[in-house]
Amino acid sequence: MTTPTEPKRPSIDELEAMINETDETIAEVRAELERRRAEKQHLAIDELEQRLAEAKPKWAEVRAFFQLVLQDLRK
Amino acid sequence: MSQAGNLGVQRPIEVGVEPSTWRTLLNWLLLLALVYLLVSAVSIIGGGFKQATGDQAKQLFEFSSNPFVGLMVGVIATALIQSSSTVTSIIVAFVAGGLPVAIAIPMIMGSNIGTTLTNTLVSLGHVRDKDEFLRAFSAATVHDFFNLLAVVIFLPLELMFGILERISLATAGLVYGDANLSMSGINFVKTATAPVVNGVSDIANLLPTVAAGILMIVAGIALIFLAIRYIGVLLKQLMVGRAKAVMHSAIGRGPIAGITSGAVVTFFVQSSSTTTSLMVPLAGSGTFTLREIYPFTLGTNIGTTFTALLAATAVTGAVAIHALEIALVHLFFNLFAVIVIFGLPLLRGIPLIGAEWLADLAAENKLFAAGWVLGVFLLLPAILIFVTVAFF
Repeated sequence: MTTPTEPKRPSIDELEAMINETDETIAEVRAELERRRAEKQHLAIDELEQRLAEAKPKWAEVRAFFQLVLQDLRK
Repeated sequence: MSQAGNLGVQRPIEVGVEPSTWRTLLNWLLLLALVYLLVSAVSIIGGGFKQATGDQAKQLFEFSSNPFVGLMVGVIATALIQSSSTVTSIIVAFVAGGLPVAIAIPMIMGSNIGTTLTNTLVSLGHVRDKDEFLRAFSAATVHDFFNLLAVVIFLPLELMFGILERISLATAGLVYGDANLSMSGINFVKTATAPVVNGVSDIANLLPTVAAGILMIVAGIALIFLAIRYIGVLLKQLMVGRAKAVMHSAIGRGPIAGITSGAVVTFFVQSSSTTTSLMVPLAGSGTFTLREIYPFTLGTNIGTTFTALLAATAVTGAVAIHALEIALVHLFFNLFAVIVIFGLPLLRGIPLIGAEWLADLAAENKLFAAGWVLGVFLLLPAILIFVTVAFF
């Protein structure tokens, strides 16, 4: 019968290396996130003609909003 | 590029996607004609106002000599018309007709608040998705909170020290210099607009004097409406490419680039309501964060001041300096508001905190959003006007 051995504790150098590696990974993920967000923003701006044409209140939606409010008030 | 054709794949025919040169040229000519119409309309209103009131313009607006009434008149007028450019141009025309600048300043400030209603109404369309509504409503109301805060800071300062009026008058004085402003006979703008102004005036003068003046005011306001509306439509077609380039270049460049792009894009399309409303769905979808939209929104306040400056060029004679003065008040008010509120870290976060707080409440209970829209833009101003006029 074998006795369970304690998992080997990482050395201080190994812990520091793990932290550095994690920091680098986080920085890479952050950069990728920023890049993707910027890409999404650029794509949205590419549709500016359509967005400008739609940039006004839609009265049917405003009316629907106030109808929802009235429904909530009646509850 | 031609491989698609070789492979027998039909490429879409791009007829009408790129406006042809002649059409662009025609649009620019139409734009010039509309600017001419705008400038003429300001002259028509100014002339009509003088004719209708004689020297009694100040007495006519006595009811709004209380600055809070003036402020609320500006809020309601802009909220109803949904165009601060139109309201400020009309105010410039009224100043040209004899409305004192001191009475007009709170109205200009009020129009800044009234114009924020449009993008708030746009945000209501996102109500069915709670998270989307929270983002859209906060992106819209950050403009409300900023413009309300600007008035809270600058209206008392203006009443106490007249800072905006003094700076604007001094700047207008620099523009007009020591020129004899009564020598309007040689003024280019007056000469250029004379055919339209005299034409409307001749028709109106078939009526008695006061009625003719009122008719000129109504005709001038209608022409301003038309001119600004179609200037916006044409500029959107003509300048959309440049607006895109400006917005692309501002991405990821920080708040100063955001403010600049907001100002430039609004200048291009001549409507802050359009540019702020444009950002609301983009906030709702999470494409832009509230903190990214905030500086852009501030820029729109500055970009929209060009219309009133353009309207002021219509005014000639001794009142020209005051017409330019009130247009400059609009510019300096918005410029100083950005410098003070966004420039001071202590104040910068207030509109963000206010917008996030209100959006949290509104996302939980839509009644808060309805109360904000009806209360801030209609009920509160109407009650304040009624109370002030009735009891003070």
